[in-house]
Amino acid sequence: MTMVQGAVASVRAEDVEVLIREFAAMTEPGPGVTRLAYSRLEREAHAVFARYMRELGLIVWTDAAGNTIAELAGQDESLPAIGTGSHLDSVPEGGSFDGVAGVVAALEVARLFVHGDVRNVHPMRFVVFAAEEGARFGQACTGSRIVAGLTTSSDVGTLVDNDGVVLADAMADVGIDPRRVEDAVWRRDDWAAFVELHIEQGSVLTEVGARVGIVDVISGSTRLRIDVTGRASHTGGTPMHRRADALAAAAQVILTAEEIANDAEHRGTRITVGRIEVGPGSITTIPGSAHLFVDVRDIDSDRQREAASQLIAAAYGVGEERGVGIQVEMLADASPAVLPLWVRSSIARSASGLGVDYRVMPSGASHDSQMVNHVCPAGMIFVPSQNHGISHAPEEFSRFDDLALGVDVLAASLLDLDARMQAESQ
Amino acid sequence: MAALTASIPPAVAQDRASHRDDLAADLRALADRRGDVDAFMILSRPSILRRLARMIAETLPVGIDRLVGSHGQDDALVSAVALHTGIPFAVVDTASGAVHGELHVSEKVAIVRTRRAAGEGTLEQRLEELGAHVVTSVSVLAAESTASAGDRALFGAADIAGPVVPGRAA
Repeated sequence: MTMVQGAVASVRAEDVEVLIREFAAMTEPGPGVTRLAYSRLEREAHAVFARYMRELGLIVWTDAAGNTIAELAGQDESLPAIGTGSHLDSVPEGGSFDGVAGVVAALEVARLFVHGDVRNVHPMRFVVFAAEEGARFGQACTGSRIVAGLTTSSDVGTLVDNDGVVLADAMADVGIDPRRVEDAVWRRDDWAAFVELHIEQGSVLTEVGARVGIVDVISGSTRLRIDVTGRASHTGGTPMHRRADALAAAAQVILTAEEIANDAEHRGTRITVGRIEVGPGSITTIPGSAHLFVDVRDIDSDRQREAASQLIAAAYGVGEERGVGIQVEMLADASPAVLPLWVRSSIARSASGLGVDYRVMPSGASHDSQMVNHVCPAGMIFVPSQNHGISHAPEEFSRFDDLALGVDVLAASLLDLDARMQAESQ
Repeated sequence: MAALTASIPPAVAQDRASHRDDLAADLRALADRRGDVDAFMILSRPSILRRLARMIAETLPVGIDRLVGSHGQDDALVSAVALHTGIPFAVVDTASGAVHGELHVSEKVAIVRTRRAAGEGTLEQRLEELGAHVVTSVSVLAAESTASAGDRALFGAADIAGPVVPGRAA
């Protein structure tokens, strides 16, 4: 238990654990947590958050994207708000902490501020973003992209899940009018800053023994679909030199991707082929088609695109060499984002004030903060992930005392930002 | 047996405007609340340094013999532009006048720097003394004032001040 600077209460690991477990219980049957974007379960989880916030006396509303926002009034309501929050949807068979940690942190900070009678000058807003995970519709951070104006009502009609459900229809099914998503766009003059707490989803913090991570840059991502077209034919009747094997060519592309990312000029580049579809899918038929779904990530903007370009060129080279067709489509492209130094400094100052060891580090994963940073300066606090940093799996785990400490740093950071921005405005 | 043909690859590189906007956003992120930027804070990040070098390279006219920067603050920047363009460079210690690297009489040089200090003219004066001919001068950030006619800045005060947020959708 740690006293938060400027607040009169503290966060208990037991309280964090209760909330984490409550949200973890809201899942489809099966291993881990399955609470997909714009599903009934995601909306129920938002309702739980809203209920807790109303019990604290906060004003709560759901915006046109399905994001839930709770506001604690500030002493000066003319000032823009300081925000915190994360998401409650999950990947299929995911863990209990991804996103939920930041929402629980928001709940605990709200409790600290209300019960501690904290006099924040700026309004404080606690946000649960809808549909952060890209697992269902292929696009990450949909709710936060909408508030940043990066996803529009026309976009939600084009994204489709594996069952053929269009995003707009999924939104309508849970009571969100997809034609009105523009109503959810945040005004820049309405937000002063935003800080998100999230689990690290890696093992850097546990390896260095730091209790908190402060994110300085969030990776960008270029996503490609590479279609390889060969000739399906009998495995017995077609000699090796007569083949146009789409899967063998695809395998060569995958290994080339690994070579590019492991090249000395690409320290920090990560290329992953996370999905492959092969046709016709018979043990006695040479594959005639292979579709690769490629994710190229980097914290270096130009290098990210150059690595993707290199891979595309290599894929065409493989096609030429093996006599197969290659077609490449860019599915998505987001730039890395350096997070504002002064927000990071505020978090670092707050951690130091609490005697908490921190590590400044990049984030390899996309987060809602990356999108919010298009509206207002954003910062991120990581808490350590255990089990070798496993995430998006049932084994995902963070210690509850680490989470509680992270919430303390978050609360102190919000108050530090509140005080400093107020002082600067006078 | 019909050949299987490849289709045209998609363009992965950013368009020029998005590239510039993203870079301006990263510079803003490293500025303080008043919009002041510490040169070492931006030049010590390869992702920013590489993009700056590329932008500066695109402004340089043909025929430049040598890049020149002020020793200290601009070492990294002028090195990066040299790597990008293949043009050799020298750095000049404006306090002592010492030249590090080769710089020869009658060479056509381009001055590359992070930001011209208000009223600064020392580097140009020293280059004149050495018999070099300054063809162009490119700064990353515009000086507060007193920029010379030949000066060119990639980013103005309006690009760096104001909300620390990207200006364009990613």
